[in-house]
This record gives sequence, C-alpha cells and structure tokens, in this order.
Amino acid sequence: MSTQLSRRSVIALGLAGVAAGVLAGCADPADTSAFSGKAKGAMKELGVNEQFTAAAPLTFSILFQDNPAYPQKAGWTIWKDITDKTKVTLKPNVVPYADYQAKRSLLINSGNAPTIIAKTYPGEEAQFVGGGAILAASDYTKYMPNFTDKVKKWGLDADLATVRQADGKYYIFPGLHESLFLDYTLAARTDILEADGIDAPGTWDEFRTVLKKLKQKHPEVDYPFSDRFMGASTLNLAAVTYGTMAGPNWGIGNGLAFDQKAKKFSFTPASTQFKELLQYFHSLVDEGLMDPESFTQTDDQAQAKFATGKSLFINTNAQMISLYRQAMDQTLGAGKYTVAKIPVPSGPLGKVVGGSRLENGIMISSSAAKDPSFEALLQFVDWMWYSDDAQKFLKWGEEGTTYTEKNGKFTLKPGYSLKAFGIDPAGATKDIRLDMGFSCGNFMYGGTTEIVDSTMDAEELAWQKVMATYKQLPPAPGVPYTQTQRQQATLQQTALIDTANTATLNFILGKQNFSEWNGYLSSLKQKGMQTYVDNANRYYDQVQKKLS
Amino acid sequence: MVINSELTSVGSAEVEETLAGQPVQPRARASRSSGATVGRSRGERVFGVVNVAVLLLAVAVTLFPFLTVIAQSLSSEKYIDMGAVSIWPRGWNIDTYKVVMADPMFWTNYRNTVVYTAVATAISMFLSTIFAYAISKKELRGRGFFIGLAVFTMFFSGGLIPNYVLVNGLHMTNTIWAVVIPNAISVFNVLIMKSFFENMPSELEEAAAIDGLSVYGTLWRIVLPLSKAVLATMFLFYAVANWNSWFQAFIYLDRSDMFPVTIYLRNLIAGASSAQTSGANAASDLTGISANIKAVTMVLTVLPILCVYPFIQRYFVSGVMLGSVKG
Repeated sequence: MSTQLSRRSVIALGLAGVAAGVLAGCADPADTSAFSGKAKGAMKELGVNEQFTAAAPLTFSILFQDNPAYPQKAGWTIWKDITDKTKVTLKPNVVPYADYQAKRSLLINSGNAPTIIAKTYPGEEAQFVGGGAILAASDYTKYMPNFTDKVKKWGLDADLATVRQADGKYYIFPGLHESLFLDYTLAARTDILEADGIDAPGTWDEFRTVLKKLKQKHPEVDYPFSDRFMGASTLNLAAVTYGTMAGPNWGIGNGLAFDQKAKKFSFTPASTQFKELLQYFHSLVDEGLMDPESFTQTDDQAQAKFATGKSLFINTNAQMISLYRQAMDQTLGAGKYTVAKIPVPSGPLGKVVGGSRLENGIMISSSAAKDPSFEALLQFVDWMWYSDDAQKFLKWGEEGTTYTEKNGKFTLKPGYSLKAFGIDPAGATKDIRLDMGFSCGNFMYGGTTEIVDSTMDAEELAWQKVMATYKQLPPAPGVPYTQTQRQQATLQQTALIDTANTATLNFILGKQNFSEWNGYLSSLKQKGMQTYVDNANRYYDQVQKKLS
Repeated sequence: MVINSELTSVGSAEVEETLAGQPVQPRARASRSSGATVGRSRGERVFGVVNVAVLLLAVAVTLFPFLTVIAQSLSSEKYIDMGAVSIWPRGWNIDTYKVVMADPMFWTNYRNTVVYTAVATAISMFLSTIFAYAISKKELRGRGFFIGLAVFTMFFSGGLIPNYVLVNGLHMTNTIWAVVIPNAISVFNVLIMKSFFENMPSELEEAAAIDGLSVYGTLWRIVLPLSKAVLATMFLFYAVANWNSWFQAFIYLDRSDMFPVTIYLRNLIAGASSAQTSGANAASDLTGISANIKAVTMVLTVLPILCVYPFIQRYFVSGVMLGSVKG
C-alpha cells in the first residue's frame, strides 16, 4: 500500500513540476511589464542619442579600475559632471590596476559586487556565467536603443557571436567599435632606411630582404630585428596574414580557427599555414636577421637595444612609439634619428587584418534586476556607454568648456591639456584626464571612427588610413561551452596550446628540425586534439540549431 | 671558534709568531689576559685567512644586488638602458624620486603603512606572547588540543572567499581592523616563542610564586624581561611582514586613501609594465614611466626598515648567546 501511495505522490509531484515549467515558459520576457515596480527614476521614452536624465536622483555603485597612469583623485570633476547631466550619482569602488581581475573575481564570487562592473574585456565574463552572479545582457539589450542601433548600423552580429555562451546569450555589455581598431605593428628606424635607400617592406618576404640589406650595410648592429613581447605580438600580426593564429598569450587564443564557409572549427597550430609561418621566422633567425633572444628577453631589454641603436626594428603601438622617442632623445640625441610605425606587412593572404570590434565593456550584477530602479539603470548604461554624445563627453569633457568640435576635429580650449595623447599647449593648467577624470579607460573606449580617431595625432591618423585599406577578416565565433564543458576543454586546451607554444619556439630557434613536424603533429593528437576540435564543432552546431 | 693554544704542549720552547711577525715568549698558560691570539699554528692561520676571504665574498655577493638597486634608482635612463649601471649611479637622476614623492597620495599611503604596521605589530605581539606563554605551561589542561588547533590552521585555511564573507559579515571591510586582525597570530612565531618559554628554568617562576607574584605578574616582571631576544626577533618578523603586506589591504579595502604604500607602488609598477602582462588587451594609455621605477619603489619601501634594524640588532646578538647556554 505504501509503495502505491508514494508512486502516486511522485506522479503528482511530477505533473505539478511540468505544469510549473509550462507556466513559467509562458511568461513573455519581451513585454515591458517586466519593469513593473522597477521603473523608479526611469524616463518614459528614450530614443537614440537622446540625453538621459533620471526622473529622480539615483545612485549606482560601480567597480572602478584605478590606473596609475591617471590615478583617481578626490578633485576629479567627472563624477559631478555625470550627476549634473543625468541625476545619477556613481559611487566608485576603487580597485588598483594591479590584480584588478583577482579582486573582481573575489567580489563577484562572494556576492558583494557593485551594480556596474566596469573594465571587463570580452571573454572575461565567461567565468562568472555559471554562478548566475551577472546579468544576461542579451536579454535586456532590446530595451537599449543606442546599443541595438549601433549593432545594426555597424553589422556587429558576427562580433557579438564571439561572446555568446552555451545558452545562446551573452553576459557582457561590450564596448563597440565602428571600425576595427588596429594599434600594433613594427616600428622602424626610418632615418637609416632612408640613408641606405631602402624602402619600407610591404610584405613579410620584403621584410626579410630589407633585414638582409641592413645586416650587410651595418655590421656593427648585432641583429637588425630584436623583438619585445617575447615575439608574441609580431607572431600574431604575421599569423593573421598567413591565415592562422600564433603568439603565446597574445594571438594564439584557444587555437581554434573557424572556416566561415564550412562553419567548422579546426586546430590551427596543426595546419600547414602554421608550419609556413614558423618556417618564415626560422629563416629570419637562421640567417642572423632576428635576435633569437627576442622570444625570451624582457621588454626593457628589447627596448634598450632599440633605443641605443643596437637593433633597427621592434614591435610597437601608438603609445609605445612616443616612449621610444623619449628614450632615444636621451641615448642618441634628439634629431639624430627618426622612428615611425610601418603598415603591417602582408603575407600569403594579402593585406588582411583580423580581430573583433568588441572592446572592454561592463557587466551588471544580476541582483540589479530586482532593484526598483532597474529600468533607469539600463537606460543610463545605454546612454553612458553607447550614445555618441556620452562618448564625446566622457572623452573630451563639456563642449564649450573644455573643447570645441568642428567638422569632426576636436580641439581643446585654451588652458586645457591632454598630455596622454600628446596635446599639451603652452599655458595649460588643467589636464582633462589627470585633473578632471575624462578620457579614462573605464568609460571611453570604442565608439564611432570619428570619436576613436579624435585623439590621434596626424602621424597616427595617416597610419590608420593606410591600414583601413586592408581587408577585415570576420572574427571566429566563441565556442559556447557550458560550465562543465569549459572545464574539460580548458584542460585539453592548456596542454595543446602549451605544446604549440613550445613547438613554436623550438622550430623557430632551430632546436627542432622541420623534418620532425609529423612528430609534433602526433604529440598534439596524443594530447586530445581531435576530441577538442570535435567537441567545439558539436557544441557550436548545437547552439546554432537552438538559435535558428 | 678558535680554541686558544693552551692545549698545545706545555713547556714548549717553540717561539710562536704573532700575526704581526714579531716573536713572542710563550706565555703562562693560565693567563688569558689581553686576549691576543697566542700561538696559532700555521694551519689555523691559513684557515683564518681563507675563512675571512670566503665570508667577504659572501658579503660582496649579498651586497652587490642591493647596491645595484640603489644605484639604479639614482641613475638616468640612458645608462640604465645601456646596462652600464653596476654599483655606482651614473648620470645622477632624482627625477623619479621627485615624481613619486610629489604625489600626495604617496604620503597618505605611507602614513597608512606606518599606522597599520604599528597597530598590527602591537596586536600581534600581545596576542602571540600570551598565547605562547599559556601553551608553554605543561600543567595547562587541554594544552595538546590548543597546540593542535594552532598547528591545524597552519595547514588548512578557509579559503579566500569564505574569509572575505566572514570579514564582510563582521563589518570590518574598509576599516583598519580588516588589515590588522585576520593575520594577527602567526602560528610559526607562536611555536618559536613557546619553545623559548619552555626552555626557561622553572625555578625562576617558582621563586616568583613564592614571593607572591600572580601569573600575570610573573609574565610581566620575570619572564618577559628575560625574553628580550625572542621578543625582538618576533617583533622584527611581524614588523617586516606587516610592512610588506598588501594582499589583506587589497582585498578588504575599497578606498584608495586607505591603501598602504605597497599597493600604491605595486600599482605603479604594474602600470609601467602592463603591456608585458596583458598582451593584446593592454590598456595602451601609459604615460612615460621611467626605467628605474622599480628600483625607486624598492628603495622607498625598504628604507625605514633599514633605519630601524640597527637599533634592534644588538638583541639578536645577545639573543643567540642566551639561547645556547643552558642552566
């Protein structure tokens, strides 16, 4: 008798469970009654590029990364300016730049995270998805007109696909770029190239020829090319043009290249393109053109070699090149040298660049969804991080007070400087970044090309113009792992990527011969490469089916 | 230790030479008056010379990196980039010092470090001493349990997140107590103190008890004055550990005006080398940070400890001797 009773109650419970599930599924997340009771301070209607002003004063806490290049000061006016414009007071929870990720993890995992978690790079949010501590951004972007407008205008669906998780949603509000932001390339001693009558290289093969000529003409230079970042940035630049991925902790990522036509992943460090890339760099090292220490020396050592004229090419970005110039003014003397960024050399795929147009953005704590001012929060975030007006404001300050804009050209008003971007007119008393808090990295990355370019000097703009003629390859989508799948994949990925990185070094430096390539491939197979790739393809297909 | 040559054959007519090369008369064996080395054999002298040479080499090897760091902090970028700085500064440059010390936040944080170190060391010394004294008494009931409890915490801890939740729950975050209380007792130090107290002759305490001193009186008036060596050692251990600590402050404090100077300096170095560690995602908004920033921060952090140490050093010297003599 007792077993019959329990079976009946089990069935009853099961039916109740199913009923609850069906009813829950019936709830429509798209209707705005989702904000009933949570609309405190929200504006009734907010359109694209309209100024957000809260209907009642609100306060939101924000996790704020304190960069030592522009330390957060009590005297910063930006907080008050934001409050004046929007009636929202942001309370910053200041975390030092060093170990920012550690503290962020700690706060989120212990349930104490602020409402807005700034300075989150795409991919960093994945570790918090399983715990449910952060909001599923894609559920709420439909209430954010600026965001959706930009995604549509700039065709960012493929880029957003790089951050979709196993449930098809994405959990970060990323920064958006209208055009791909390129920064890294090679810096060259253009004065020496000019003196020797050598043109800047257009392809990687030409680069090798240029290095050969320089080596002949300058026997006092040990190696014409001595790299920094342990060679990873240059490997990454070249890898894209060879159709593969490389660069330890830089471009190699998860090693999964995506064939856009076949919609399939493959493990690119096992490909022939990867082998050709390594063969190219091996030839540079073999012929004494590239310093073998490039892959192991510290950045300071590499920079010292370049600054003292012991090497003639080095990897750089826009900020670093001014640091090189500062150092070289001391070591070689101002006016006795010129150094400039060259356009990224092209490879077998021609003039291509890769990457995603997503930028660091914010996460929102899932507890915010229960807050009475939730709707206002979404509107505020939409305005602050995705409207053109806000981005100009956050980058340049108050129009008419700190800057003026004419035909897309931004000029600071007299008395203001922005030393970080080289704008330092005589008589400037206030730096809009150091003293006022504008142009800082928690708010201002991304935006229209015009806004992104607004802080670039003429030299950088010219380089960006040349690079804009390169073909932009679409980014590989992220593999939508669940928590457990990700753990398993990470184990395999670590082993495979470590093998690939070690092999990169060994083959380039000649410690292993290319005749041993098959041995390398079988070691990858032994470490579970096939399972890793098959899993990635299977999970991707599953989520694609679900979304369609 | 060089054993005096009283042990060489008595009545030897051998004329021994002093280090100055002058012959001396063999002295009466009983007198050790002036302490001059008398009658060292050739082997002992050679050993003496080699010994001194090896020790000087060890000093040089230990001192060299220290001097290099100081020299680098005072040198100009040009020479550092060329790798031309060894133990003397080249191209005298105190600009980095000026830049770092001109920042008011640096001084605020420095003051915080001094306050945290003083308070934390005081609390740690107090708690560790009374704990160690209590468990050093063999007649304490449950002594084994307390020792076991302490040792258990040396190997197992709650973990980062539970600790954070605990401290947060006690409303200690963003206060000085989050920095000074959680790590107040270092079990390692307690065990050292416990052994020291155990080795103290019990007759002293019995005599004190007969004279009418309570437990606290015995501790304060008899035991502690005799423990100056171990107390000084523990003081230095705690003071240096607290001075250097940054992690506690980093996780429990949210306001930059409460950070100790170690976080400030760590942040400064991280910002200067961010491109190395964060790869392609590096926030490329660096202003020019000098090549010798690391050296400058090291010198600034270590300087006060260096100034304090010579005054405590005599306790270590006497302390070594005290511990070695029994009875």
